[in-house]
Amino acid sequence: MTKHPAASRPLPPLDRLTTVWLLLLGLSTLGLVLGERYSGPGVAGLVLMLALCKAQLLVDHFMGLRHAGPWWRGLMAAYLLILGAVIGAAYSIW
Amino acid sequence: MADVALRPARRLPLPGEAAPARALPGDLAIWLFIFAELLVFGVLFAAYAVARRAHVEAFDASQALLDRRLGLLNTMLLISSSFAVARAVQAVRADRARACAHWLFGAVLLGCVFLLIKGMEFRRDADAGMTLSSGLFEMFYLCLGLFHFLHVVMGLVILAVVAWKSLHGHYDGRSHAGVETGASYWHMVDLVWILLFMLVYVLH
Repeated sequence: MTKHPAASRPLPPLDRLTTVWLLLLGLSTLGLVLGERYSGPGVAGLVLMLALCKAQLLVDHFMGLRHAGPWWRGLMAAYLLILGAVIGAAYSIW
Repeated sequence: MADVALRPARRLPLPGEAAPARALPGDLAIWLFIFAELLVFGVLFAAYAVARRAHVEAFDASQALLDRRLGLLNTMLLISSSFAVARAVQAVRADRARACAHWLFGAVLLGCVFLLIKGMEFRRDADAGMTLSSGLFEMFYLCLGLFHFLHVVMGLVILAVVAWKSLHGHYDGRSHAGVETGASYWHMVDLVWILLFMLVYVLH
């Protein structure tokens, strides 16, 4: 019995965009599960950090800001950091 | 004249070649617009978080009534749509304008499903008697949701126009600023939703 060629063919490696896409889907699910099942400042901090990580992943890899100059990257990182700090303070996470 | 002759010509990136370092994708104007939009949403997010401090129980009780599964589904739709747009940019840089158009039409389709689901959610909220004056949480939830909804509609129009132009040969491996500009706007819409979903649906 001959083996089908597709059966032995290894799966192609995931490229950067696909990896980021799957990571974003996974982190979104994880954030929701954590938020639904647990409560408290620690979990809120984790949910907030997950969202900020997702935002930075999207900015770097989908928006393509990782190729941009340091001012633009710094501006976007500062936006996310300040927003995260304000939300964290309002939710008494830190 | 001699000065011109001595100056080396700027080499355009070859098809498929990554954008040169320090290059901002798309037009500069769209980035100024993106940061202005992010600033507006940022202020609204901060206002939501600060307003909640004085009404924690009321906010948490109203938030618990939201359908978080639909929110997650919509998050996945927008992230997948952004992925398709990133693929479209990759395709046009590699001089594959038709593939770019197909990815963009896929992104538009996913965005339309987002609008459909979000519209159903708003309809269900309205049937349950939710209005802007129902409470502080409801006011923020509806304002943020509707404001973002309109951004999605605008983004879809932009993507559809860019996809149509790509299909009809307006872009190629060397000239595709229009695709990058539309893509940047769409990613901003996705970025705002990621923050909105975390804040309004999940964080408590």
